[in-house]
Order: sequence, then structure tokens, then C-alpha cells
Amino acid sequence: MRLALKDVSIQFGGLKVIEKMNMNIGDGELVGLIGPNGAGKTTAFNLITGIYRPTAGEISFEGQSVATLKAFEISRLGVIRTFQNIRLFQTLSVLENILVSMHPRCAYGLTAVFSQGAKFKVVEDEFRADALKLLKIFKLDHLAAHEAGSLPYGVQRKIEIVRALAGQPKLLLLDEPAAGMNHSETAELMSLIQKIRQDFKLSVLLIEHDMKLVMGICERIVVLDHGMVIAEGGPKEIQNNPRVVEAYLGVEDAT
Amino acid sequence: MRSLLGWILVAVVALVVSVAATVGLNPYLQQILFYIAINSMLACSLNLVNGFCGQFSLGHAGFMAVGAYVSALISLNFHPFSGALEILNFPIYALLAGLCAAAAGFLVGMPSLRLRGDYLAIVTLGFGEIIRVVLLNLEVVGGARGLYGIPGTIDMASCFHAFFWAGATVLLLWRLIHSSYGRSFLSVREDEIAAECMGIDTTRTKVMAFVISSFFAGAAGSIFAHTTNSLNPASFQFVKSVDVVIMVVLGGMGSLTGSIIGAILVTILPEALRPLHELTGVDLRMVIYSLTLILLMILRPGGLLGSREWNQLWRRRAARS
Amino acid sequence: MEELVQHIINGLNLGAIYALIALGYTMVYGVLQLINFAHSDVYMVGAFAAYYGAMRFHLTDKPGWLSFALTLVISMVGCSVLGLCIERFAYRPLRNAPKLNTLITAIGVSLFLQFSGQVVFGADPKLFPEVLHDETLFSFGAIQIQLFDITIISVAVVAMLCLNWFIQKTKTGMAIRAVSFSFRSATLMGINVNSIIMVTFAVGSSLAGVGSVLVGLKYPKIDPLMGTLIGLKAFVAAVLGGIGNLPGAVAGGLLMGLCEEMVVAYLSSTYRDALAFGLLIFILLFRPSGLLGQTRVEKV
Repeated sequence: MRLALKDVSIQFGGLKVIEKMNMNIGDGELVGLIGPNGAGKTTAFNLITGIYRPTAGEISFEGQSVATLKAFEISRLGVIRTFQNIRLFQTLSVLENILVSMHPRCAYGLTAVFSQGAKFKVVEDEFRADALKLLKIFKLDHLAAHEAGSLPYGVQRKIEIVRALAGQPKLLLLDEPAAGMNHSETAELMSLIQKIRQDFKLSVLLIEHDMKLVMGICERIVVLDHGMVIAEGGPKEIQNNPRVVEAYLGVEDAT
Repeated sequence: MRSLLGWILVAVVALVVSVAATVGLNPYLQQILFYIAINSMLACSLNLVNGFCGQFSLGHAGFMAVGAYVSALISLNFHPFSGALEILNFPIYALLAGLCAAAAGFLVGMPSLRLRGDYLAIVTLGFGEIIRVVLLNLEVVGGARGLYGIPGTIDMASCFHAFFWAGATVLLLWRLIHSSYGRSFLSVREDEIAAECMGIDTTRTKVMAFVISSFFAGAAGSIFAHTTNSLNPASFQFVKSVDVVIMVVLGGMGSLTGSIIGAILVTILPEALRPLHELTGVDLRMVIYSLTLILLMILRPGGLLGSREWNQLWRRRAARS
Repeated sequence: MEELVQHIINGLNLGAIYALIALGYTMVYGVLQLINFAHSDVYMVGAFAAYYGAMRFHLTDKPGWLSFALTLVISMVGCSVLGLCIERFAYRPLRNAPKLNTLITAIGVSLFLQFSGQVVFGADPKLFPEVLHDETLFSFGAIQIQLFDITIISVAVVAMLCLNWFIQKTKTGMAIRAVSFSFRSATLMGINVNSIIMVTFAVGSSLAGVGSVLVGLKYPKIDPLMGTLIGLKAFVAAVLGGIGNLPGAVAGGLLMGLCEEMVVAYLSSTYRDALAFGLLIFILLFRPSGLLGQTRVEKV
């Protein structure tokens, strides 16, 4: 079991944003987290990645509780995310953005930096090669030297995914990866996500509003509404679940 | 091999400058040159924190003071080398001064660096002032009277020493910036939350930048002490920290080349204004500085170079890789 | 016991002045999230405005309540005008820039005022005009209550009551509260944010002006650098009470005044100024939201 949420709740003042959420993600699973706006999906991501602390319940990754861990420690365990509102390092180049994620693996210390020893060169070349390899998968390697903030929105979204991958995650959290994409771009993204899941042996949890993508690639879907899990199951089950329909579209009037 | 090349370059530059200065400049101008070296060290080291790491520190003068006073105290009491080799004492003093200032940087940085922007600025300002007030009240360093008779002369050897340190500062900081650690500094500047989520220990990163920055500020303080031969807490007031901020902002936060240029300009300006001062009897230096700061922030916040280095002056934006 | 009462009176007086200046810091921080470094120097200019104004209008020839009131007005007007100019020319252009740029600018403005003050007014201290004569009003044993003490406290209290009425009971006051709460929402509600910010600066600065006249009465030595120390203490008071929080600024100011008085009376006067720095660092490290403030959460 990669990720386990047990009765997780979070409350801001009097507002209960997430209430008694239970969710498990196994090795290699591709799970979708859906729900209407304001349901608490991104908050769930923030809880899993350690940006918020739950007011109740437990979150554990690979059997280890993450309750006392800082966000960067959770990331180093292998839980890496992308953001709903893109958070690339705007004035850095695309390559530098990717290289940042590799810093936790940096095998050289300050002495090697100051003396520019052999180890420094070797590790830097290795990092660069790995970064370009990752960018190639997404066909973005030609943009390596470009300033990240100057690129189109859709491209930036993809770079965020590459940046997350560079950290060698075991669980990849994608927050609305297809936002702003058209049909063909979404289809491309769908196959990319499946490919990286397979090649890198990841578990993937994604938040999405694009139902074609969700129903198309997710093996299991968790539905959140007003901070509570209202349904869980495969795509067909969820599509036919009346509670899910109600959450998105509302209930028909009695008249 | 590549590593040695950098050091050779630094040594050559220092040699050329010191020979040219001894031969071609009068003592007054020689002292200005020393101030350029000292200010370059201060500006480049502050830029590491303010420009590259995006943390606003207003207490740089405090670390310079720690280095200056530590170096002065040690030099008044210990002389590992004497006679002809006396000149070798000074690198040792500067190294020790830097280490003590780095320790001070650690003590100040650890609790402060989790604060955001304006609060961090105020806390560092506060610590800088506390260091000064402590020195003002410490009898062993002369209190308000200050310290006198600090060893050190202005000659070719000390000039080489000063410029070697200045060059070393630039070389080491350049290497730091162009490494994974440098990228972690930049990531903290750009988006701290994203950096955390990518596995960067942002607190440790900020403290690292702060400690390294304080080391070079302390070493600069040491050179200052042995150039002026006397120290007084009044030299390390908040205004001094602002001086360094102006150098960094003028040159461009995020550009080491810019910091050097900013340091040179800010060092030379009072001398350039001297005739005006003599004419009007009024010291306009700080008035011009503060006005420059305001106008810079409103009209050209990127400073002269923005975040570009000397090898990118024709570009509009920076690129490190 | 009597000594203690005297110290408390002195402390409250000092605190009232700190409160007046702290209110200026807190009001500006509330609407702009900016630490207005230049506020202490606006205060200083108020003192000099009063000095030159009193000379120009010969107010020292007839000391009394009228002259005192006129001096107050001159200082308040001078400070407001200066505050408005600073806002318009130094801060407004940076409204959309990163906060740190505005902070650097504020430092620049502060230093500019200090050093041009030295050039224009001369660095030597001057004597604040004697627009009111001091007398001992009451005497209970060792306790002495001076006219100045009563004046300071009463004027400060009246000013704070007026401010409170303004903020709580007028439409503009409500708009100021709205802008401090959420800049964006206030604009969407049709509030002219630029005007509100101008009013905030004018009001905050005029309070500093009141403070400078009150201080000038009791401590008549004025010089272009007089704002630094008192500004720092008032700023600490604002942070202590919770920056952005108006009652907090008053509470913080009074607390600062009392603490300082007690430290000088019972500990040692060398540490009176160190108290401010120490307190500031302590608060920022352990409870940055102050006594009454609230922390803002960043949305991820």
C-alpha cells in the first residue's frame, strides 16, 4: 500500500474542509480524484504533501506515518506533485527547473563545489543528461534553455510534470494536468501519463475535471463532495452512481 | 585543472592591481582601492542572500562588525608569524574573522529565516543593531571609544591580500551559484512552496546562504579593520547596511558582476562629490544615495545589470545554463 | 508607592505618544501590507513644521491654548501633506511591484527625509517653540501632575476617540476597514482604493503630527534624526499589539510606554533603548501576529 488516508479531517476555524476521508492507493495504481469545485480535492493534495496538517486522522506513505514530517521530507520519501495554478520557477530556464528537483539526490557537497572537483563535474553531467532524457519523453528537450515563465500555459503544465518526475517519485500527484488543453493535447497527455506510470513504476493520483481523461485512464475513481468521499469505484460504477450525478448536477425538482 | 585556473586568474588580477596601485596611485587613491575590494566582498555576499536567495537581510553591517572586531582583537594579541613573514598573519585573521561572522550568521539566521519578507528584514535590522549596541557597551573592545592601533599597513602586499580575498569571494560565489546548491537558492527565491514540494529543505537552504554570506562579510570586516587601523561601532550602523543594499540593488540583485559594479560606483561617489561638498559645505552623499534608491526601485528595479552576468550583457535576460 | 504611581503616570504619557505614532504604522500596514519606514521621519518633519510655523505666525509671543491648538493644526497639516506626497510619488508607482521593492523604497524615503532634513534644517538641534507654559497642577506627596502631562494624555485620548469614531462610524472608515481586509474585494465593491489609501496616509500622518507637538512640549530639543528612535519604539508597539490592528496599536503603545518607564526606573537607563530591539525580535520570532493580530494564510 503506497498511500493510506485514515479518517483524515481538516478544519480551518469553523469551516470543515475535509471530513473523515479514507483513501488507499496501491503500487502502480492510477487513481482519479474528482468532485465539484470546492469539494476539497486540492486540499487533499496539500494534506498528503504536508503543506497542511490534518486536524484529525492519519496519513501514511509506504507504512510510515507522515504526521510529523515536513513537506520536503515527504517529497523526498517519494510523494511529488504538480500544482493547480502553475508554480514553475519562472525566471529559471526549463532545464534549471528540472535540475532543482534533482538537488535532494546531489552527491557532492560544498567542498566539491568550491574546488570544482571531479565529482562535481560527473554529477552535474549526469543530472543534465537525465533531465534532457526526461524532457525528451515529453518532446520538450528543444526548450531546455528557454525561460520557463515565457512559455505557453500548456507547455508549462507539462514542464511541471517533468519537474515532478525528476524527483524520482513513487507516488505522483497531478493537479488538473489537462487544464486548458484541447482534445488532441488531452489525448496525448493521457497516453503520456500511462506511459510514465508504466516506465517509472509509479502510482498516480490525479485531480481532473476533464471526464474523458478521467474515465479514459483511471482504474479507480474517488469522488469528493463538500469534503467527504461520496463514492469510490471504477469508471462505469461512478458514471452511474446517482449520488455522483447529484453532486455535479444537482437534484431534479419534485415538480 | 579547471579549478586551479580560477585561482590563478584571481592571483594574477590581484597582482596586477596591487602593482599598478603601488606604482601609479597616491596613498589617498590607494585607500579608495581598498574600499573597493572591501565593498565588493560585502556586496557580492549580500547579493547571495538578497538577490539569489530572495531573502531580504538588512543586518549585513552587523556581520562585518563581528569580523572586524574579532580580527582586530586577535591581531592585537596573537602573532603566529613575525618579522619578515608578518604579512602571513593577515589571511589567518581574515579566515578566523570570517568563521566567527559565519557562526553569528548561523545564530541569527536559524530563528529568523522562517519569517517572511518584511518581517525578516526587520529582524535582521534588529540583530544588526543589537550587535552594534553590544559592541558599544563592551569594554574589552573599547566601547564607544573603539579600538586603536590595530596592525596593518597599506602597501603592495596588503593590497594583493585584499584583492585576492575580493577575487576569491567572487570566484567561490560564482561556483556556488552555478551548482545544484545555487539552483536550490534560486528555487527558494522563485517559489518557496514549490521548492519545498520538490524536496528542497528551504530553511536549511536559506541558512546556508546566510552563513556563507556572513563569512565573506566577516572577512571583509577583517580587511577593513587592518586597513583603517582603528574601529568604532559607529562605522557599523544601519546606514552601513543600507549602503551595501544600495550597491546590490544598483548593480542588480542576482548579478555578481552587477554587485562589483555597484560597489565600485558607491565607493567612488563620495569622492566624486567631494568638490561639491567643498563648494557648498554640505554633505549630499546620503541625500543622493537615498534618492537613487527610490528612483531605482520605481524606474529600474532590476538595477544596472538585472540578473545578467558579464558574459550576458548583450542579452535581455539572464541564463545560467 | 507614590513613586510607583508617578512612574505609571509617566509611563502612560509616554505610551499615549507611542500609541499615536503606532496607529500611523498600523493603519498603513493594514491597507498596504507595507512597513512605512518613512513614518518616523514624517513625525520629525511635523516637529519642524511646528517650529517654523510658530516662528512665522509669532505663536510664541502669546503662549496659551490658542497658540497650542494652532501649532497642532500646522503640524497635522504639514505631516498630512508630506504623507500624501510620499504615498503618491514613492509608493503608488509600486502598487503592483513585489512587496520588497516597496520596502526598499520606504527605507530610501526615510533616509532621504533624514538627510535632507539635516541639509535643510541644519543638523544642530533646535528648541521647540514654547506655545504653552507648564505648571504643576496637583501635588500628592511625591506625585506631581504637570499641565503638560494632562495635556498630552487628553489630546492623545481625544485624537484616538476621534479616530475610533471615524473608523467605526463613517462610510470612509468602513471603506478603510474593507481595504485592510481584502484589497481586491474592496475594488470589486466599487471602493476607490486610491482615495482610501490617500485618506489613510493623511490620517496616519496627522496623528504623527499630533505626537510630535506633544513630544515637543515636554522634550523641546528637536533635530532631523529625532524620529528614528521613537519611530522604532512606536513600530515595536504596533507589532506588539498586532500590526494592522488599531486597538492593538493603542494597547501596544501604552504597554511599551509603561515597560520602558519601569525599566528605566527599576532596572537601568542604559537598557531603555535595547528593550525596544529585544522586544521586537522576541515578538517576531515567537508571536509575529502580536497580542491582538491574526496570521494570514497563503492559499496553495
